[in-house]
This record gives sequence, C-alpha cells and structure tokens, in this order.
Amino acid sequence: MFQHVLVQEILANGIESGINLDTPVRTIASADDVSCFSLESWKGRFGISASFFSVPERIGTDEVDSSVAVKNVAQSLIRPRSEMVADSAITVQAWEGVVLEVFDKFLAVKLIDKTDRSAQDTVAELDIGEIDADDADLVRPGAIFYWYLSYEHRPSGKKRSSMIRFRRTPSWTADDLKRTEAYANELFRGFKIAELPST
Amino acid sequence: MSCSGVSKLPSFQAPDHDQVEVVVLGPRYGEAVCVHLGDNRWLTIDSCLYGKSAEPAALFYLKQIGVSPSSIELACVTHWHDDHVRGVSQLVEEAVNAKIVIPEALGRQEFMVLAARFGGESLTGGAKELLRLYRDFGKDRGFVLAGESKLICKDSTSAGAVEVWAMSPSSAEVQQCLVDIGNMMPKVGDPQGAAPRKRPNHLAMVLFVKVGNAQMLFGADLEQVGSQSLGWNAVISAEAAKSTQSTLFKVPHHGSSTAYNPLVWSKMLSPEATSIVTPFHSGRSKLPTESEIKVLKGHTPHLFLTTNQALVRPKISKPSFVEQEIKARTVEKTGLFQEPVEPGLVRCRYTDASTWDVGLFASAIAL
Repeated sequence: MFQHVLVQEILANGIESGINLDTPVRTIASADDVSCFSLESWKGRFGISASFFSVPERIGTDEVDSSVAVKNVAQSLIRPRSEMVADSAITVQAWEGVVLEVFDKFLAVKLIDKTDRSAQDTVAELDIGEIDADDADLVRPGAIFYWYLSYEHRPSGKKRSSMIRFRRTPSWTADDLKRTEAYANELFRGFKIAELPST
Repeated sequence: MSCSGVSKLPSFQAPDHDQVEVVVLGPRYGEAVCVHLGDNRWLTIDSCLYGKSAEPAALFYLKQIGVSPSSIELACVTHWHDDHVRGVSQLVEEAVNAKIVIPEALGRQEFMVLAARFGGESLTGGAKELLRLYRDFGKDRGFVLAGESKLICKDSTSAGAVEVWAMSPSSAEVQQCLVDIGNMMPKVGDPQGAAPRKRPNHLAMVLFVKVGNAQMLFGADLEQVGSQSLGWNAVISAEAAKSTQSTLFKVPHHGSSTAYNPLVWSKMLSPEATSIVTPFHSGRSKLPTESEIKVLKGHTPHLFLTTNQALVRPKISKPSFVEQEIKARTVEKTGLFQEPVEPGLVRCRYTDASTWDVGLFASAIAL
C-alpha cells in the first residue's frame, strides 16, 4: 500500500494532516506533482513505518534541509502498534488539544474541535488515567495531543473507542539550534528602536 | 473618594475629545486595556481575544465605539505570557500608526533567539506572537524599549498634559530575565515544543499614565519578590514612583496574593482608588480567590471585576455517545465547558470633579 504525502503539509501540520482515522494517511499530492516521499510497509493501520525516497529542496521560497525534514517526518509518523484501530472505525468526534497545566490527578486542557470547525474552543479536565503509558513522558504544559471518539465495527459487534495520543515532536538538533539563532540574529539586525522623549 | 458612581450601561459610546477614559477587558483568560489620552489618541496595554468575536479585545472595543485602530499611538506589551499577548500581532497590524512598547529584555538578541525557537511550534505560546511582531514589524515600526523610570511619551492633548512612564522592569530584573532565558534555551536532544512557563512574573512592565490631573497605574502581572531590586519592591523605591498618586489602579496579576504589596496602596495610590481586577481561570487555577478579594477590599470600596467568576460556564452539547465518553474521561465527570461567552468590561471616565465614573458592561461586577 502506497500513499503520497507532501512534505510541506506534514512539516506544517505534523501528524494531524498525515493521519486521520478514516484514511490513515491522506493523499495530499501525487508523486507526479512535486518531489514527494512515499510511505510504505504499513504495520497496522496506524503503526507506520516510513521510507523516504526524496524530499524537495525548497518548499515555496524556503530552503529545506532534507536530512532534517526526513528526520522530522519520520519522528512524526512512526508510531507504535498500540495505536491500531479497527478497519471500519468511524470517527464521531475529534479534537486537537493543548495541555494548559498538569496536576497530580488530571490535566487542564484546551480542546479545538476538529469535527465542528465552527465550534468555540473548549476547556476540560482530563483524568490523568486516560493517558497512555507510552505518552506519559510527553505530558507537559504546551504539549499537543489528539483525542478521537469512534465507533469500531468488529465481528463481535459495534464498540465505542476513545483514543488520546500525544504528538511526538522531533528533538532539537545542533543544526536546528544554529538555524534558529541565525534567524533571530537576522531579526535583531533589522530591529528598529524608537527614540524615547527627553525628560 | 475617587469613584463617583457605577452604572450598567446599555451601549458603548465614544468618550468626548477631552475626556480621559480607561477600559479594562478581561474575559477570565488574559486582559487588555484601552486608554483615551484625549483628541481620539489611544494607548493600548496587552491583548487578549474577546468572546465569540475572537478578535483582539482592544480592537473589538474601539470598533464598537467607532474608533479606527489607526488612532492607537502606543501599543504596549507588558510581558510575553500567552494570556497577555494573544492577538497582539493582529492589533499592531491594524494599528498602523502605533509604536510598539516592550520591556527592554524583550528587545534583546537573547530573547529573539528564544522566540525563534519556541515561536513556531506552540498553539498557545506567547513566543509565537512576539516572533510575529519582530518578523512583521521589526524593520518598519519603532519599538520602544522600556524599563524602570523611563518616560515613554510626553505630549499634550485637549484632556491635558500627557506623560506615560514605565515603572519596571528594573535593570536587575532585566539581568535576571537574561539568566532565565539562558536556562530556558533548549539543548540538543530536548524535545521541541512550547516554551516552559517561567514564574514569577518579574519581567512585567508596570505603566504609569498621567493625563491632566488623572493619574493611572497599570500593574501588569508584576509580582512581589523578596529582593529589593526586583518586583514591586523595585517599583516602590524607584525615583519615578515618588511623585505618583494614582486614583485608578489596574490590580496586578489578576489580584493574586503573590502580587500584593501594601506599600503600593499606601505610597503610590490615593485612598480608595478605583481598582480593577481581571480574573484568571485556567483549569483549576482561579484568581482572585475570595481571601484575595477580601484583602483588596480592605484598601478600597471601589473594586471591580471585569468578568463575574460566579458565572456558570456553559456546557457543550454533543451527541449522547460523545457526552457519555467525555464524562467518563473528565475529572468528577465535569464534561466540557465553553470559555465564557459573555465576558465583561469595566469602563472608567475621568470627571470634572476629579473622580472616576465607572460603567460595567455585560458580566462585569462590583465586588
């Protein structure tokens, strides 16, 4: 099974654009359109193993460090088999969440409704027991997660399912740090400081 | 007595050209302030998003009263926490004539590196808004770097002589901030993500505004720190503080006890100063608490809250399956709540009798 995912989309939006419950990897652009990489060797519908054939050198006007791009995408997409859901799962509700505060027994979170885009942001206090052990080290203020409520159709009948998964962000590399510092220095060089009035 | 009356007002009206007005908007997460300096010249302090409009609160208010964002001359950002900078890049974009006032440390190269590293990732981080300011306006707009006892603006309008002073951060706070920035910098191998939240808020920029006889102190989120050279202790002992006697006070840090210093009330404010608190509600953190309100009421009977904390947050209605699942997974089966749909605002207008005429809109209340 091959799917093509535009690197730009993945880099911009992380796993959310690459995975949703109905079509685990959305086809955003074909390989003929731009330089794309292909995903193959699915190990379960959400247990993705990726192989990358090429990464564009430029996205729009921005240069892309291909090694960083591949690494970022790989870290975003390779996920454990525990995330597998049934073939015919129907997502009833999806949120993107951000952790506001971490308490002993719960997380204060803000939820952005991905099912109803017109809905206002909401807040909730999620029981800490709902967080998968695999994700425990990812839980911190500012962490981004996805929460899906689905119906799974199994031979034994319809079953409700809830899945909360935290976004796996790439780690900082020496190149990342150098690149962001150079960008900040460029901003600083062009920074215009206004004069204060005399007292 | 610095407060002449309180009324629930049915609609917004622009102030007269020679009338000083202060509007404080605080929807329980974040705050924004608009100050009319006279002659349709405005100053804004901080930014939050307002209710269903999801528009920067200051723009929301000014548009309601028919004032163009181009009338904003100074857009002040007191510190970089998310609840004080949401929407500020949009505000500055529309406020085409505004100079941007930031604490000195935020104009340092070190902070720009921090913003570059944390400004792209987080959904909610204040670094993102600051990075936008640097990127989109850093070359063309003037940035005013403010600190302790620095005069930011000196002018006059038909409302009187105008002076805007920064009372903080002190030079010691700037140095401390640079140390903190160094500690917050990610290292190779650290996970990318949002910037860690740093406390206490000793970087926050307190502003003193004087227009004619009207004196106003805006406490930002500045907290009380043990050292004499940091926090409110530094402000009180600063030279610029000695001549202030404000009759209007935006209470610092959502009325929290960590920002309380009785000397501010006795030395920098007139007795019974009109005082406004913006509540903070995130998760189970709720400010101010009842005991904190009691302490503030000990200083003034003219204490106002921009949005009533007692408002029941409206529940979200979802299909039954979703509601059951949500209840099963939230603490004490509390479910989901919308952010308050009707945040309030407190409007204060300076009168000829040297008092503040206070108007409460929507869910704003007197305490």
